[in-house]
Amino acid sequence: MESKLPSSCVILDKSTKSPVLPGWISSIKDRKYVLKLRNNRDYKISARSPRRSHTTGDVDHKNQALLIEALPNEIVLKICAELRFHTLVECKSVSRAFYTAACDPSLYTKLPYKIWDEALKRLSFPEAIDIARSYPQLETWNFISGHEITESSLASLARAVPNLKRIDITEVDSGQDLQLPKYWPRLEKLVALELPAYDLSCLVELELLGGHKILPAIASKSLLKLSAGRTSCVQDLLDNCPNMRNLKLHWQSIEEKLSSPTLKQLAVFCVQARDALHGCTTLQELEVTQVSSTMFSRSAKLLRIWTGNAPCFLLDSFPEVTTLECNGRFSTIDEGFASCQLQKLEIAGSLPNSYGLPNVTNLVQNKTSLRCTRLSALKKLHMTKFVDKQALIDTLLQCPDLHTIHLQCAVPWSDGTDGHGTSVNRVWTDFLESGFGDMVRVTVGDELRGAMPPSFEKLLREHKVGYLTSSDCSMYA
Amino acid sequence: MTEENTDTQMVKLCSSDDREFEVEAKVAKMSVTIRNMLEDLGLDNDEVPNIPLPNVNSQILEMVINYCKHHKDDVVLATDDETTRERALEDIDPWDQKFVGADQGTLFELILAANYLDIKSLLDLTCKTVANMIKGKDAEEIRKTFNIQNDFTKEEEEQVRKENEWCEEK
Repeated sequence: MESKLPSSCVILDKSTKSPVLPGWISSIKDRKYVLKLRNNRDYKISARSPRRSHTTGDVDHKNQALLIEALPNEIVLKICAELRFHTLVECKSVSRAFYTAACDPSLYTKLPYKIWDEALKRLSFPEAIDIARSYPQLETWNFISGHEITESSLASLARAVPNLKRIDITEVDSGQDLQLPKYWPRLEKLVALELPAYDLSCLVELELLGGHKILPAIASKSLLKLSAGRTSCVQDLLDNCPNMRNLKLHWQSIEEKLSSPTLKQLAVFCVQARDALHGCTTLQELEVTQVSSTMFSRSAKLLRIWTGNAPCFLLDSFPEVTTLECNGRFSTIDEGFASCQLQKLEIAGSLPNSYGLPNVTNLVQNKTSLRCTRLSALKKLHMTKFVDKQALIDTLLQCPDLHTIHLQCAVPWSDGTDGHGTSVNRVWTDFLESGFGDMVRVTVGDELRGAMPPSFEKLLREHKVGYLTSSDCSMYA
Repeated sequence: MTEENTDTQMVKLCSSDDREFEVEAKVAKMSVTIRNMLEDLGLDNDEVPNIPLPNVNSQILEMVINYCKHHKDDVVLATDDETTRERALEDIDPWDQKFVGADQGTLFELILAANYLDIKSLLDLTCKTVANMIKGKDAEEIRKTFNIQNDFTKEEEEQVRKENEWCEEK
């Protein structure tokens, strides 16, 4: 705490009714005004600005409002840790102080998958290793097919990035033979096509994407997460890996009775016997490619279905399920679907016309535009596609508790019209100015940045639409 | 004295400009710094302990106290859980949003106070807010937002550009 805080301040009027904030921010109208001020570039914090003088009063001129430079290093680092890679790149060219902060190796345990992957294809292996030296705390490396891997190049990579924990060798033909744990003793996760021949007892996570061979019953005490195609006996696998938490066998049809005291997530092709999951008492999430009416779990809280129609009686077999995800292109939910237990629903298509979901607070709609939604308890709406204004306003009128709308969009936004002659910008200007803009918080996925027309971005900024980083997790994973 | 008694007891917090604030110990103890001080002082007398906070002025202290009052009954989320952490990032509660919605100077002072007083949730909130101000901006916009001078020489600027060459989106 070297930095000195301004010491003389005007005390805010304590008699105001608002216990929390000064009066100027208490009403929505005023808040809008203040936000506009904040976004006006000419509005700089200075002693002359009327609002600033309200809070700091007769502060000495040398002792003006704190600047970001006044923050200690560890705080700046903490702030940087919230930023995405490409924002950090921008930070590096702001100033020397920002450069130092944004270069800290601890910020780079991962590089953004897409950009790094593209770069790797252009670079030779030695060039890639050279860049990796700037990020010595990297924990992830994907070997790519064009890179010639030799004993010495592996050793040189291991010197540049000694802490790799997750390695992907799916693209390397001889991948199964690389003795990776020798170079990276901290290796925890391996992604490969088929099971490597060497000792994998250090691994916590193993992902086998090939799935052509039937997996032998591997044995490991450390293994928590396994993803593969199929195995001959699932129960043997569970017995040999006594700490298994997450098991994915994409082509496995479960017909036998399973028992595991540790299993939390299970993903399989389908579950064919009603009592199959009876012995999995800790199971929290069940994912099936194909829905079947015989599935049953007493403990699962989340159910994910990739194909098939979820019948309205489905949840009778899942007394604890509060989240239902029907995410696949070919998964739907029944007309007349009703449930009091669901809190979160994620669907690829529109909601059918009649449904009763009085406790759903969180709705995620993928790959479709919104239809007027009537969910009396809805608090949060997550949309992946742009909607028309009227449907949105209708939804708001019927969902009095809706307070957050999150937009996540994989396709680039266009500044053009939506096909009915309405410009996207126009719809949002109208929407935000309709009065709902003040009541509902709109957030957009961080990955939308740069993909939106500048005018739309400006509009979002004026209305204090926040960028979210939750997508970072999935993008960089 | 039982835990309950010590929580409802009042303590006096004294700001750098000598204003005193009387708050419940439970509220004050959200600051690890104050909690440690109170432990050192011992709370088993009837006097209201007086804690001097020479690094925090009254305007900021008042804000911090309001924050602590609002959050005194919060349940601490387990941070090692992947899903709760993700959710925590997504939902900055509207009250908190308003709370940090003041000007930059105040925000930075709040950060310093949260750091000094060791109030993790407030430090997280304020740092996240600053990060949100940086997010999605280019270098020039960041400079404008925070009133920062570009102190690179031409050569250094070129050097930085070269370092980042590989990750320029094509």
